[in-house]
Amino acid sequence: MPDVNITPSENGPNIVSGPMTITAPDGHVIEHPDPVALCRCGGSSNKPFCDGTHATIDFDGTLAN
Amino acid sequence: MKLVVNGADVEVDERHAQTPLLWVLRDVLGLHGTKFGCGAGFCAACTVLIDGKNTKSCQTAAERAVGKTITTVEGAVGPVVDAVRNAWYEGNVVQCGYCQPGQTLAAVALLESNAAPADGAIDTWMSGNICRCGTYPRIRAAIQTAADTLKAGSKPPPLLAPAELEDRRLTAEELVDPVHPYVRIHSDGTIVAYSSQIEMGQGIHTGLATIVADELDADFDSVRVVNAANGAGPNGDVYGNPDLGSAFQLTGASNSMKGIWVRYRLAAAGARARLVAAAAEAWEVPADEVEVENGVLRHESGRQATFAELAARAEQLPVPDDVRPKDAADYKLIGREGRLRVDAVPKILGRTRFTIDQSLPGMLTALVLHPPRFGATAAAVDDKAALAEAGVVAVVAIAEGVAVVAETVADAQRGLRALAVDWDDTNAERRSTAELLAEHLRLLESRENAVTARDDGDVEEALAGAAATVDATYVLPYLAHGPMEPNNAACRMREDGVLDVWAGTEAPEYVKMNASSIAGIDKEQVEVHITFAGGSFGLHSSAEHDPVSEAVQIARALDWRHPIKVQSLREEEFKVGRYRAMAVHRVRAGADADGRLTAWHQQIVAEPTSVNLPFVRDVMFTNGVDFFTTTGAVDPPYAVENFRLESTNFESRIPTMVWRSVGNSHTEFARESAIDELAIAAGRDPVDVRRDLLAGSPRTLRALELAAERADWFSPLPDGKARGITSSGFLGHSAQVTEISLDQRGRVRVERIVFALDCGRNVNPDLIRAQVEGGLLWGLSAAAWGEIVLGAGGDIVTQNFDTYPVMRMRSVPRIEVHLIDSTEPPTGVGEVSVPSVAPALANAIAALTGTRVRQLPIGNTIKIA
Repeated sequence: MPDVNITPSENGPNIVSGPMTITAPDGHVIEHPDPVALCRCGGSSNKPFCDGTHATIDFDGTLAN
Repeated sequence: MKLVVNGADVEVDERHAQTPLLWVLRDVLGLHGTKFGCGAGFCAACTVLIDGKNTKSCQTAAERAVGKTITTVEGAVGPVVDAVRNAWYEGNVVQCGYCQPGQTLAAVALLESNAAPADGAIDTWMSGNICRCGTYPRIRAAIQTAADTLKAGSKPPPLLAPAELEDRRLTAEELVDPVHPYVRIHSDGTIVAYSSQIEMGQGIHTGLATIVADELDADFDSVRVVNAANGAGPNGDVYGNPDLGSAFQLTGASNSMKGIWVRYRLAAAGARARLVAAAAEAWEVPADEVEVENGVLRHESGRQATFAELAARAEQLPVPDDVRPKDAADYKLIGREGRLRVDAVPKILGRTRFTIDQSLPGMLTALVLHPPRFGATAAAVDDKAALAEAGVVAVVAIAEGVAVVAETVADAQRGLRALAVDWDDTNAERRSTAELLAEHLRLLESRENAVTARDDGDVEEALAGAAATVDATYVLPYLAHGPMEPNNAACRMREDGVLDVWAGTEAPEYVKMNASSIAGIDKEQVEVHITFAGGSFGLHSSAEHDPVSEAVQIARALDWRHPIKVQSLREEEFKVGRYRAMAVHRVRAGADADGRLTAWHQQIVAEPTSVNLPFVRDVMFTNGVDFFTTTGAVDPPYAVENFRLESTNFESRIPTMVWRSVGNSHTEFARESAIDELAIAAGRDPVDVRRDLLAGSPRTLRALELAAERADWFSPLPDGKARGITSSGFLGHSAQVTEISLDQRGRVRVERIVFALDCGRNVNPDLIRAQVEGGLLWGLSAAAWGEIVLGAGGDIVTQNFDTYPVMRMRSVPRIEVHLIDSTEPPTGVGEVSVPSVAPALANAIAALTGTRVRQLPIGNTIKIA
């Protein structure tokens, strides 16, 4: 099994198994000890993380393939 | 590591470099105004300003703030801050107050970057901040007010919070006084009202202050209110709920105002009579010549004295036997507009102490890991790695799970992550919510355990002869409360053998029972300190296996050496359940050739709720019927000749609890949807159908007529819009019209809700409107999106606001509340508007799209924008 597993939730965020690190465009590293929900709909006001907005904006998260 | 917090340089140990700034602020620096709500950036209760930008401190590692300026609610100053805070105060925005430091800082950041935001800009900006009380319409208005204030160049002064009042146990002498447990007039002129009812956002402290000030003829601003408890004495509990025969102290069932109306008016009238008697005695004049106005007693001879001057003398005097509350014609405050909430300023300033803010010397914080499935237990615990984490003091197995005890929340959370627990599923609930629903529906069909709750006339015969019929099944999910302040409690064993417990509880008596049985002490050796609750909505009515139970077990396991605070992570709160029960209803209804309802047969299957409430269950669960399941179904406002109600008690391992509006939250969905379906089947207008049925309920009829009139029910709407209507006799008399449209993407947009209410005498009209607004948004949130999901094997999937979406500002409709004048005694308004939201919305959707949604949340069938 790979170290990282990504599970797109139905019409919701990508759930990424933790612990994990995220490197921001400015180079700073966000270390996250738990599984995280990463925004997939673009509507979060908490990017890169999900804030639940997807459910209220009719985000269509159907996978392309 | 050096941080700049509120203008001051502070040195923070490097071991906190990766700790969320939230916990460094709270647990290391002692700044408690910044709140923990979800820990995952969903709710923004933890908002601070970093270099002026509103930032979620739970998602910001402390080291990321090095070299930047951090401003918390405690340190925010300036004209924009003052304009925002004054608008919040004067707009009666605040309810529980827990999210408001974050809300106001987000608003400050908005106005600093956009001096004149349009409503749309406010909605977008503020949609990151969740408020479970539903203060959104007032937040939106307050931001506009603040923008106008700033534009006009006015400079409101900073808000100032009064000093916190000490809570002090009543002496034996005070306990038997008719006035002292409820109202005290102090020599500095402060009048303190001791509230038997916890303030958890519903505004009861302000209602109490209004009644006490009016009855005393005191200056409203001189009245302070505190949460009281520990009232057990020779004559029972002085804070016992009058609606429950004064047997024990409980806030709930929306009966606070009803009880206060009786008890505190009389107590305040007694206090006033004593002041008058003291003046008469001092001035040697007849008592009936003493006049009282605005905190001053006067006699025509020119003598006068303030309450403060006569308070000590008055306390020595007996309360006259013939004291009666004043006549309604003499009210100066009751029923008038203009009261501002007495608890608002400390809440806006982040000064109110919630349970999470309780701090005592030597106190340790515990986080409890709960099983991933209801009913599972810890079989084996490997705590080596957890104990190796810095700051972790102990790992304690308790009945509810495994507790990690540490110096700070962040330390405990690191310990919790390192904990390895094997769970024993022998007694676990292994069914998914899909399987649980299937079993509910199977029982609904088979009727094998059904109990008849009411049976009038002959339903089968009436149905057989009906010209139009409906046979529909309605499905409602488990729901969580999710108050902004996650579950918590604190305790300390004192040297004198008294166990102090701090909890934002609706049921102090349950706390005493629960804590004393675990501690092995007498019930009256427990002293309850009722904190302001960051929302509750019924959640904190629990009697066992709650944070109080956890805190006391942990403190006992550590030999009472440390005061213990249990703080639930949001995920752990979802994992302990105490949900609104899943419920399924089948309604078979029939109408005659004139479209008049002639037959009603309703079956319910749901897990009972009242069984979890000691004493309450003795009266609410009778002959196999849980009134908390059937309320709203067994006692509809409508007169139907042939009526039968059957109820089946579902069994599972999932704990249930009262949830804002209790059984009516599901029974009214079935009832009001089915009435609407029958109206359509019979070809009649839904208002006309209800008018017939309400002939014997004139107050409910009046509400229906008013809502229909104000919502222009009988005028057609433009294409693409539709309305739905409901009426209700729940805790008053109300009716609701919901107006919707479809947006370009086919989503339902709730545009407008009109709510008409007769709740008896309106003590504080603006606070009633605020509760109705909040209840509507609570109901709308649940109707649109609310659903607890258990996955395969019973795994608890719903654990935070990502999987339990709640109302945000962008989805808030226009709300119009119309209050009906009444001279009847007041009833409660905290729950009254919740039940009708879902059916009014479903009825509107049916009118607009032809699709009848019978399963909640509606968002699973048609998206709600």
